[in-house]
Amino acid sequence: MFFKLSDAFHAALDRTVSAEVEDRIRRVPTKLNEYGFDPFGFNPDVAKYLYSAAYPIYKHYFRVETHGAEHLPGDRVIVAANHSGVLPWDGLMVALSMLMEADPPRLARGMAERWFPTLPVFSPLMQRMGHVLGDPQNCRELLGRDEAILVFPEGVRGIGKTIWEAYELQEFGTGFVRLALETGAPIVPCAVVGAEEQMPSVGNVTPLARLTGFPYVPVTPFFPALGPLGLLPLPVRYRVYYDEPIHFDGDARSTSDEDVDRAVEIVKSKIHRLIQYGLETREGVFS
Amino acid sequence: MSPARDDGPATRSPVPEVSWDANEQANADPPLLRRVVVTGAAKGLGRLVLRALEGSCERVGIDHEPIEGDAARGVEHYVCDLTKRPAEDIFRQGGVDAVVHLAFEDDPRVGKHKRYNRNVLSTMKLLDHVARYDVKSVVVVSTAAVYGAHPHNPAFLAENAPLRALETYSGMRERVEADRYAQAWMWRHDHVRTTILRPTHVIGPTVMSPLKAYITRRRVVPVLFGFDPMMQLIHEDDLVQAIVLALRAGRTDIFNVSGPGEISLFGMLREVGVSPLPLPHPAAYVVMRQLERLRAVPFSSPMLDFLRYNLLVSDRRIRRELGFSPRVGLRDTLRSIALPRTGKYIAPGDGA
Repeated sequence: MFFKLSDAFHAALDRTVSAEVEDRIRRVPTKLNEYGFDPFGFNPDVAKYLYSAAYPIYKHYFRVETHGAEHLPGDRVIVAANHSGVLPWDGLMVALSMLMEADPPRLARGMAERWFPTLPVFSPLMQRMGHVLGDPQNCRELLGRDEAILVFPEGVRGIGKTIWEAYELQEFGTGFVRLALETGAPIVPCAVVGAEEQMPSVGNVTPLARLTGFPYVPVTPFFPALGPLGLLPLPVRYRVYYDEPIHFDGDARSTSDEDVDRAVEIVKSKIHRLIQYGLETREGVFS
Repeated sequence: MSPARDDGPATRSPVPEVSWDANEQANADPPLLRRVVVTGAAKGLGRLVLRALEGSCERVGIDHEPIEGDAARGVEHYVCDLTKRPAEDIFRQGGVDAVVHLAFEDDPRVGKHKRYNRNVLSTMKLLDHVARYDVKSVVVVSTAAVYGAHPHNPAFLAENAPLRALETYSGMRERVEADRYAQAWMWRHDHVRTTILRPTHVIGPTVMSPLKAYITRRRVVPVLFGFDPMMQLIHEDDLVQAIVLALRAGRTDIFNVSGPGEISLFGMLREVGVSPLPLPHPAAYVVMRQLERLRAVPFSSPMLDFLRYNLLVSDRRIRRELGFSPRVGLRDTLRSIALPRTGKYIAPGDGA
């Protein structure tokens, strides 16, 4: 009974699937078992609905422009991007850009926060899309299977910042470089230009954040004034830039902290340069 | 073009693993197996292990009940309590070379004290006899459930991961305690070759496991609304294969045994022919607690976490070190317990 209903529901949803997106998902080089799952819970038969639903936002709302997608290899890679825009639309847009523009199409394995698995509905859907719990061991396993992981080394420091600090890279974590050393995966620096302006936060209400347990509670011209509507992002144009893969040689255990920091700085400065290039060449925030 | 199909874990150059240095001593030559004691011999898994050992050694069974059917033939079976004197007598007679310890109790309908007796005290007593009466090797078949289904679990827990089943599920206490006791005992008695196996959910026509009880006892089973964790299953024949491999190898070590692959809970229910009934999780925990108190369900409330969070283990080590490789695929494993849809029972490998 349940599965008959579920099949009918899927059949009804089938009309919403973009042929283009489905074709790209089928070509993702992720190994699946006889039920169409990868061990982390990715399933193209479910993912196709979710990415198809997000695709119009990618194409018509944010009108994402991708540059340098040819730098994304077909095997293990760590994509390290700047994080911004209060709500993580940038993660979804980079994931779509990797899926739609890279050759072969790459599935961005995003890293979910620790509280995420306790969330009903969203947690399994994110898994079906290819996201995993952000844990170094998950990264190691994924890279061992030649997957592409997407990391935001600034974390909350980046996404929660105000418009006064737009495009200033915050402190980077070092875990992604250690992973690169351990697994031999190259790092592809990635810059997202445009997301900073989608929700121009003028300040954070720290006491409220502490009270609610959210990492930050922003104040924008529209939020909280317009209520939940104020959470809609502005129709900015996204520009996503990928740079050449950087290979770091060395052994994770014997590499000193100073060398790791130096490697992080190299990646950070590449992303910085990509952002500067994007800012200089763009004609406007919305065009 | 469809994505490539996977038939094994990690491809290409393996990623360095978390270091886990097992006791490498005395692992060279295979142990002598002339007389082997199997505990829990009357249960499904016990009968299968006895059958697998047929013809290779003298087989001695111990359980609370007699062995039914063919499996009893040629087996010296004792109906007794592991914690009692008659069990010790079996060892005192001498000549026991190895023990396969399978006698664990997972059914929450069995009272608390009885469960403690059967899980913890029995293990302690049995290992005492092993040390005292010069038994050379032991295989303890624990469970991967001792790691617990926890929201912070990364995929593929290695054998050195913390056993966090206690954090939420006190009903798991005896299994965790038995596993920990066996572990501590293993390091203290390094002259006995002790292997601890931690298999994932065992599925098959003969054995009964908590997961099998959950999915095969009714046509509609409760699930938690909005959750669909990934699970690992192992076919009973493959678990028997792993147990026999461990027995013959005689390593002092701990191994996860995870089976042919991963599948989501809903995918599993669909294959078995059972309908899920999604319940909101806060209510489900309350309802289950009441049912549990009435001893009405063979499944207990904190075990709902296993329907909520992933628990995936890595069995890379047993594959590499003992040459274990599951022979029954995911689909055949599930079909071995599938409910008859057309009035015809679908046997494993039938492919129908």
